[in-house]
Amino acid sequence: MHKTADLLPGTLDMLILKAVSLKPLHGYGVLQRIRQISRDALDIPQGSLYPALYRLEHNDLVTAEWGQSENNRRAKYYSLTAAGRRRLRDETAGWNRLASAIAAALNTTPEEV
Amino acid sequence: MFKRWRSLLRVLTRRRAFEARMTEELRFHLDQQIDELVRSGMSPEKAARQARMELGGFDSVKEACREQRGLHVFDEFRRELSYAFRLLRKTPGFTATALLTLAVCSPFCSLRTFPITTDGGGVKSVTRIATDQHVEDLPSRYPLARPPALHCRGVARIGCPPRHS
Repeated sequence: MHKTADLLPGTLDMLILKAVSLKPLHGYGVLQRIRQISRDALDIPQGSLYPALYRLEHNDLVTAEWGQSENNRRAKYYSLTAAGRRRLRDETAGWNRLASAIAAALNTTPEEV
Repeated sequence: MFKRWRSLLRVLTRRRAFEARMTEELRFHLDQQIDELVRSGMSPEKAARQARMELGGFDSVKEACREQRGLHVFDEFRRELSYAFRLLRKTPGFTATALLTLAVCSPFCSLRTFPITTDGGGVKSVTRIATDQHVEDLPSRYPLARPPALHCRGVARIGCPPRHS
């Protein structure tokens, strides 16, 4: 049994962009991919996934196409647009800056002050 | 911004297809989830229940998706409009009077408030429908101290008083 972490606000869009940047995916595939690449640490609330996908599509960060799923059913596949790729790059850089700043702050020892 | 408008327009012009595809997409998701739960040893009935619960309500997810595409404003407007029509249908007398009033007066009249006398001789302010010309002429033609010409018998008269040259 793995321990799952709650998502911070604003991180869902970033994770979805990352998931579909690796390979076009349908909604269910996005869930599985995020679970897989976070080593089961992140569990996306399913009710928020589709509104987030529709928002990203509306903002032209992802584009959708209907295709054939692995079990031969029609499914909507999302992939990244050029604007989505730029957004993912910016958000990743911003997130890394924030994460390393917080890590540095939290790892400070009394001797370093 | 331009892209968002284009996306909204695309959905609005193909609304039925949008709804059908959204249902198909969520249905696909539920079926995938049910299959996975059944594979993990759950009974099909329990799996179906669990999948729906995890998705968090088919209709509420759909509503949230519509909102993300900017459709909720149009849906709300349509709901309000249909509510107004339902109310108007319930009160045909009121609807007929309102329509008749608008039909008779709207082309050449504007809604104004001006002093009008009552039968008792006192002066009260009521809303009446009169042409701009009549409102301008009113103080000279109907002096408020002695108001003999214009009478209101109980209710305000609707319609434009005849013009005097």
